[in-house]
Amino acid sequence: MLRKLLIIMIMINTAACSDSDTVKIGIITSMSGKFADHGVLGRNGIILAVDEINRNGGINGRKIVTVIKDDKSIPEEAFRAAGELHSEGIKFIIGPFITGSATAMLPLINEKHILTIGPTIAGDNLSYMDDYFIKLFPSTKDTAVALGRYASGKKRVMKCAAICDLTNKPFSDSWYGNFAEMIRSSGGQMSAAVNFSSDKKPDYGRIAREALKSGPDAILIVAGSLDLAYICQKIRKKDRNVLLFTASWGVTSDLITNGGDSVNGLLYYLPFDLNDTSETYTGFKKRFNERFGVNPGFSTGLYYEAMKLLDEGMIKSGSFEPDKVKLKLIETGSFKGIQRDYSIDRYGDVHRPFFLYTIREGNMTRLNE
Amino acid sequence: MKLRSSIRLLISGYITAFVAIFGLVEYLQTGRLVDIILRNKLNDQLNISNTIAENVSNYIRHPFEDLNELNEVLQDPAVVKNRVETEKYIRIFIKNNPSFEKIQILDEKGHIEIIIPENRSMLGMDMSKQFYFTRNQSWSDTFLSQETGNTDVTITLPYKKGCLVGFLNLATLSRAITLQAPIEGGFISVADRTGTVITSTDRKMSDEKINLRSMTGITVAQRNGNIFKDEDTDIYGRRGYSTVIPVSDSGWLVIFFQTRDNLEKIEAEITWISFIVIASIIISLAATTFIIVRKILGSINRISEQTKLIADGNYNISIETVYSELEYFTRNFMKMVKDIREREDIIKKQSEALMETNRLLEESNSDLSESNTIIERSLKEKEILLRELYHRTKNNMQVINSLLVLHSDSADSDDVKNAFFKMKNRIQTMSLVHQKLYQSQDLSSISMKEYITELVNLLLVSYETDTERTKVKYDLQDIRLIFDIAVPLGLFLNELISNSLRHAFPDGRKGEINISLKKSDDASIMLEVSDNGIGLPQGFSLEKNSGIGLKTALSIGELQLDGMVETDSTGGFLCRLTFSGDIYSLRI
Repeated sequence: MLRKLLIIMIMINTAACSDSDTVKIGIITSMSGKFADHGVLGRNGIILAVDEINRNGGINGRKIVTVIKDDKSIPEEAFRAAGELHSEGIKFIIGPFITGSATAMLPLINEKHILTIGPTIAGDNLSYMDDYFIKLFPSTKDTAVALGRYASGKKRVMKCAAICDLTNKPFSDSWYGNFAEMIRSSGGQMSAAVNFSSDKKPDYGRIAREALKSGPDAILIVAGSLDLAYICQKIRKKDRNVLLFTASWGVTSDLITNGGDSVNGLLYYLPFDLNDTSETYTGFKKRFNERFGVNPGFSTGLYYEAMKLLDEGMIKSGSFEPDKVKLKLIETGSFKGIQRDYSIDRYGDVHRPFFLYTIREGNMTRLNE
Repeated sequence: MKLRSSIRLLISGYITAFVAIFGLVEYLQTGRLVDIILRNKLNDQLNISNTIAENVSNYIRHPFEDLNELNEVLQDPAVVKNRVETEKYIRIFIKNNPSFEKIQILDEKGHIEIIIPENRSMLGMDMSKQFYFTRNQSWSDTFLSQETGNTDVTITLPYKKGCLVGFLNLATLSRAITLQAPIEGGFISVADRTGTVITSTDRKMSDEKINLRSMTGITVAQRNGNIFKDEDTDIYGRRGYSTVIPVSDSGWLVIFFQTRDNLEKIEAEITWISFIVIASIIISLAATTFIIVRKILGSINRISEQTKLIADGNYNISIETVYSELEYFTRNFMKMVKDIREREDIIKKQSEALMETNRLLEESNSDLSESNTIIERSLKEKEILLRELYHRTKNNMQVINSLLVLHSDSADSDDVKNAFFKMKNRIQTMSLVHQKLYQSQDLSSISMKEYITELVNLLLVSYETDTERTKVKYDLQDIRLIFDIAVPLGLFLNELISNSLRHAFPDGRKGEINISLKKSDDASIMLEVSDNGIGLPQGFSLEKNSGIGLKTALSIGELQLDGMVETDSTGGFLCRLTFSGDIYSLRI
């Protein structure tokens, strides 16, 4: 009888108790659409972190509850998802996956003071702003400049074409602008800029032809892994020597399976090493594999770190108020990552090392610059 | 204790007992009911899971067989002669098998030779690194198609030197398999080998590609290749009952999960319903009881009020009640009231009569009182007069006595003097009675003890008796005698004492006189006078030989007092008079 009364009491009090016993974290990522593989892997990274945090008693005694929204890598969807999360009273968001979506969400999260951590957001347009967005991915400027400097310096690229997917325009624009600037600053030129939209059945053969038409030494491809792989295939069919550079966006295991031999030699910078052998990362990798039956992608580790960062901010601030958590994170500055330490500046922009990689015989290989 | 309190106590006890018994029964029944529901649900869960696993198995087997048939047709030169016909057959195949969203033919290097639906930009693409590029007949794991965003799986069949790859859109799985699990808080899902949900009754789970690998049941069912049942599964904080069934060939899993919340909710609903039923019964009972009690108490109150009116003397009452028992009571009560009223009328009339009598009695009493006052006054006056009479009589006797003494002194003869002396003593004896009478309260009787003692003392003085030589002893009861007896008795005693003092102790002889007065039970009084003197001479006869004194005494004793006189002269002289104390009635 006592148990029944307890059930009745629980039923009556469930609504009242739930809010005070939990902290809701919104997750906006791509769980369908072209980047769903990254989105799902990233989301699973958060789930792993949440499992671990909750198992250890939650944050300041509160269990984490995640509310997941699929933006399909469409900026309008991301904006809508952020609005929905806000209407649910959620004050913290992790995501979205692409800069375009983050850019669309920014005004809303700043207005509503929703502290948002973008694990994979690199767009320059979100840097150097005192806002409610914390970027955990190095800015496009840093990586694009580094890769442009490498292309023009080490590889002596003088004539470079660019292929950009405009579905993630802020990211692509930033990449193109910063990379091109480095080529130009060293006396080179951008011989062609081919834009396409990955959501409109791109003609990869035409894209490749247009990029090669100007006879470039190198081609910068800013696109997701599938488009990148197919474009590389088309380029290699016509030109086996042209250097290929890409942004971190397209670098996933799908790149190799879909690109085949054509992606060998592709050069890019990554702040994350999927072959990292550190104890922390291998432990993480093992736990993830046991939990989900697959290996983590680069988005997995970054989303995992994002959740841990939020956890640390809430614990250190002793608060669940976005302003206090943000202030504490900026005040703290340095954090331990699952591969390497990183820092966050007063604008909420991450500073972490990134490394030059290439693909050799179907494997991602780190290069010594 | 008040009736109302008793009724309330009774009702409270009744309700408490009812609730306790009902609650206990309900608890036991609910527990059993929930257990039955749980077992039924788990059985249903298992049956449904098995059915779904079979359906999933069929779902996988059919497209595989269909694709195999296509492959045989495509490799039959008699049917398919060129590339155009190959593409045509594949298009027809996809049209008839919408679960295939794409079919590729890869050459021996893994390059795309044919792709339907057509996508010319993909022709020649190198797919050699793809998991589905193989010369063996195989199923792939599920994967997210970057082109469509759907969850796909590929079936690869050897085709000439390359392979034929069918891309099966698993979105059609949910349409092909009817998942009937409208269970709030629970789900039925089909997951791939990694535990990632392909399709589910919970659409969100498939949309979000939820991975259920954290369920113990998945790894155990995969390892054993058998059904796994668990009654304490934790899925993302939800606890409940799960069944995991591996699907043959594909290694997929059918996962049925019902939250404990769901069952607890059912239990809570049953409890709620029971609670509401109990509450309704209690409320109905309470309301009914309240109404009944109110009616009963109302009737009783009305009776009480009417009773008060009756107590105040108002018999013109009417009582209405709703209960036959109370009607019976009321009817009898009213009859009783009627009887009382009639009796009271009679009593009233009798009282009035009595009051009239009382009034008359009071008047009579008043008259009597006045009469009494007069009588009392009269009595008082008479008493005074009588007392005065006694006093004067006594005084007159004293005067007579004094005259007798004067005459005695002047007489020469001793006989005369003796006669005067005796006369004086007799008058003194009577005078003493009168003295005692007027000194008494009632003026009619005197204390014989006082009288005899005083009389004897007067005689001793009168006869100048040496009291040392002649002693008198008394044995007297304190008897009160009326005047009519006291006077003769005094004279009788006077004669006897005088006789003893004069004759019993001659020559200075010492002696003793005893006087006794006693009253026996039969109201007879005995006066005995004796002395131890010389007694009577030999042959002395009282009747013949005695003097006038003794004769007078005998005469008084026998005639006036109607008594019996006995004498004895042995060792002295003894005279005993026995008479009745009531020979004379009281006159006052």
